[in-house]
Amino acid sequence: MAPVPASVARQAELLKQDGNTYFKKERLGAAIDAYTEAITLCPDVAVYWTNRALCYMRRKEWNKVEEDCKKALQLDSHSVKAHYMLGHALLERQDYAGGIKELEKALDLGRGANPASYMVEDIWQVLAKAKYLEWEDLSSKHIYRMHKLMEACERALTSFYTIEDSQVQNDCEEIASERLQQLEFLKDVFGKAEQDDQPKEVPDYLCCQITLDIFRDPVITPSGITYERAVILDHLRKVGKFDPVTREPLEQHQLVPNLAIKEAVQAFLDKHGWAYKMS
Amino acid sequence: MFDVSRVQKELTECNRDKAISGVSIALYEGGSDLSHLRGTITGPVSTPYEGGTFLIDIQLPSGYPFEPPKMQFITKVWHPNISSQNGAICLDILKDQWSPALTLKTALVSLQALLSAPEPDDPQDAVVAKQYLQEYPTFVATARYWTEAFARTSVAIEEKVRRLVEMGFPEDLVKSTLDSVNGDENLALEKLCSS
Repeated sequence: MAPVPASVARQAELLKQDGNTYFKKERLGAAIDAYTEAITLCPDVAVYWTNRALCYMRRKEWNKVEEDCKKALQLDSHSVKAHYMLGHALLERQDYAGGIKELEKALDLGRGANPASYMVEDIWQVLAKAKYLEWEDLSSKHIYRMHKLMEACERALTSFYTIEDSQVQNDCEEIASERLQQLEFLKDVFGKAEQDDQPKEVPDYLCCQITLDIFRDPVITPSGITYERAVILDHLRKVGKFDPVTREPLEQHQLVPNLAIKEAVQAFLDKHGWAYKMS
Repeated sequence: MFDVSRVQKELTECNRDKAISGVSIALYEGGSDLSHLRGTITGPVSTPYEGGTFLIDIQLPSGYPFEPPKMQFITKVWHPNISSQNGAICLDILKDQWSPALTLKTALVSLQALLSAPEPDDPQDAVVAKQYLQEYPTFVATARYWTEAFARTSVAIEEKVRRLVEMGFPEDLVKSTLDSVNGDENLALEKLCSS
């Protein structure tokens, strides 16, 4: 494609700014028109597409969101916003697997992003909801199948005893009680298996001590305490430049991503989908 | 708006082991407003506050947990760091030493610790602090008397309701009358008889 002359690029940039102004005033139609003009002038700037997608998202025109985001991703595969909005749009048309994939990508790229475009919490909210629904669906199916299996096992065991009885004459009490125990044990085994699917508590070491919620973007301080990034930044801004737990002096630049905890959280969530539940 | 999800978690967590910690939190007057809560702490043993149950008014500012919760004793208490007039508390972590890593539970536990270890050099109530420093036995006696007089009432409130109901007054009326006189049984009886 021939390079766009600088004057045209400048004009497109001005149109984008117009669009942003309209968007802030909730004049979505005018904003869409401005972004569309900018796109016509400079079709290979990803931001124009994502900005227009955001307008469509406000209007819940999900097909158009999807189209614009896909275009933006062709131009910039690292666009957090494009992955986020595309994920959201896919969820809206019940494509859970596709939506979750996009949102996970967005979350990955969004972690540690600069404050201006930091949107981890928004991404998390949408992703968590989808993941929770997915878990709920799978686990109810799973529990149903397990119940069926348990009933079948019980019946099989009982009829096995009956056959055994008809072949050998025994009315010994010992055998009868052993059988009862076996049936009890069967219930026990299934009960335990079911428990793995029940919501429990998220362990404290996977939770931020300020949000009391499971980590999304954990960062560690020089004192060795891990916090949710957005929240520790809030603390540094609003309360003071110290570590909330140890009260040691703390500056923003000292915060480092805690990748080990991030992985531990992911492993936990993969195993326990219920932990995505938001209160 | 404050972090609702955190406050809900705090409540659950705090009330789970209230038998051990001796502190608990409920919504104020059984309302539905998460920003107005009522804490309960039991008086520490081997102190003049032993045997008492102290109620604390808790208000959460919109900036919570980045701003400290506002706490004030509802139950009258005789203590150098607590106003004998209005229950205002002088405790650093509720002011400039607050940190968002603290919780309502840790704050209530700190209040309990404050009951055990008064700090008369940084008083909230100058009269009480002076007594504490100059006439310690009188301080202990007064504090114990206040505990008996005011902090026992809240524990035995159900007992009082029961007694007054047995006298033939309707339960709802008994409860509201007791509330209106801060749990003073004799005053409540007088009011019930005169109404």
